[in-house]
Amino acid sequence: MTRIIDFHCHIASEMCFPGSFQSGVVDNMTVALQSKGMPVTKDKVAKMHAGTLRDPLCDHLVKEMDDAGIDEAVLLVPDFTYALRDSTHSIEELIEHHKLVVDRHPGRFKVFVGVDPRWGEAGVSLFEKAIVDYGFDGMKLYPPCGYRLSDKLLYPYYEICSQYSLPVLSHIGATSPVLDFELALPIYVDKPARDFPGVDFVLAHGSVHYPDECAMLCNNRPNVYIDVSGYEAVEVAGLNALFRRGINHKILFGTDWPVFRLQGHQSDFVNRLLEEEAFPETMSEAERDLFFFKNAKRLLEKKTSPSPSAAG
Amino acid sequence: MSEQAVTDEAICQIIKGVISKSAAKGGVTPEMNLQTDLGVDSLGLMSIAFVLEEQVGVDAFSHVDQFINAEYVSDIIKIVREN
Repeated sequence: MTRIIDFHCHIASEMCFPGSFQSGVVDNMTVALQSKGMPVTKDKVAKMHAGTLRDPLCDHLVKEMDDAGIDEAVLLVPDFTYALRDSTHSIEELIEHHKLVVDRHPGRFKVFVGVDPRWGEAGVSLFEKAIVDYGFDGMKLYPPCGYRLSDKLLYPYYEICSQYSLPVLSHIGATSPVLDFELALPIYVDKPARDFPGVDFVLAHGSVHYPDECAMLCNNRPNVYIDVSGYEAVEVAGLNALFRRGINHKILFGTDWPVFRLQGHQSDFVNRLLEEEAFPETMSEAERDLFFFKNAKRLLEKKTSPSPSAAG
Repeated sequence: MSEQAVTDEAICQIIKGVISKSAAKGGVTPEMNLQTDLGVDSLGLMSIAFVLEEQVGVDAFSHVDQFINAEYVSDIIKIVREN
C-alpha cells in the first residue's frame, strides 16, 4: 500500500488569507464565469469561495486525508501580513494558531512557517522561536509579496535553516492578482541554493508554473526540488512529461488544499493520478514511492532541532 | 421553470448544459460522478450552482457546504429537492 505525504497544504480559514488576497482570486473567477454567460456577480462568487475556508482546526482536512490514504501533510504559513495590511491576524497569531492545530492532531502535520523578511530582526527572532520552541519543520516563502528568493534580507533565515537542516519551500509563479508575479521566478533560487548547499529548496507548483526552468534547476542543483501542487487545474499529461525527465528523486506530491476544494476531495486528486495515467510506463514502483512519500520523508527527516517534547 | 415542475431529468439537462461537450457526449445521469465522469472543476461547480439558482430558484448560499461536498449528480438533485 502506497504511503503518502502531502507536501503542500494550508489551513482552510479566512484568517490565513487576507480579504484583498481572496478578492483578487474571486476577480479572476468572476471574469471567467461572466465571460461564459453565467448569471453571477462578484459578491456571489465571493460567498461561494468563502465556503471553502471553513475548517480552521483542520478536522475536516484530517478526515479527507484519512479517506485519501494521506499519512501526513505539511501546513504552509505564508506571511501576507507585511504586504497586505488588511490581514485580520498578525503573523505571530497565525503561528500560534498553527501550533494549536498541530497539537490537536498529533502526528498528522508538519509546519513550514513564513515570515516576511522586511519585518527585520524581530521577524528573524519570531522565525527562530517557531523552529526552536514550537518544533516547526521548515520555512515557507511567498516572493509575490515583494521580495526575491535571492534577497539578502532572507539570508539570516537561510542560516537558521542551514543550522537545523530545514527545507525552504517557495511559491513559484502567478497567484492572486493583488501581488507581484514577476518576483516569483524559479531562477532566483539559484544563488541561495548555491550559497546554502545544506538547505533543500522546494519550488512549489513546479509542474505547472515554469516547468522547464524548474526541471532544469532540479537537474543541476543537488538541493533544489519541485512540488506538483496545482496539477489538479490542468491535464495530467504535464505530470507524465515531468516524470520522464530523470528527476523523480526530486519531485514531491502536494495538493494545495483548500485551493481545489470545489473540484473534488483529496481522495479524488490521489485517484486521478492513478486513473489518468499520470505515471509513464518507464516509471518504477520505487520511483512512485519516492514521489508520494520517500522524497518528502527524506527532506523532513534531516531536521536536527529537537521538538520541545523531545527535549523534555 | 418552477421548482415544483423540475424533474431529475431537467436537473441533469441543466448540468449537461454547463459541462464540456466531450464530457456531455454520453449524457448525464444521477449516478454519475461530477469530477471523474463529467470533469466538473471549480468553475464548473459554481456554474451549476448559479444556473440552478437562476433557473430553478435554488438558494445557492444556503447550500454552499452541500455544493462543495457534492460528489454525484444525485447530490445536486438532492440539494434542489431540499431547497
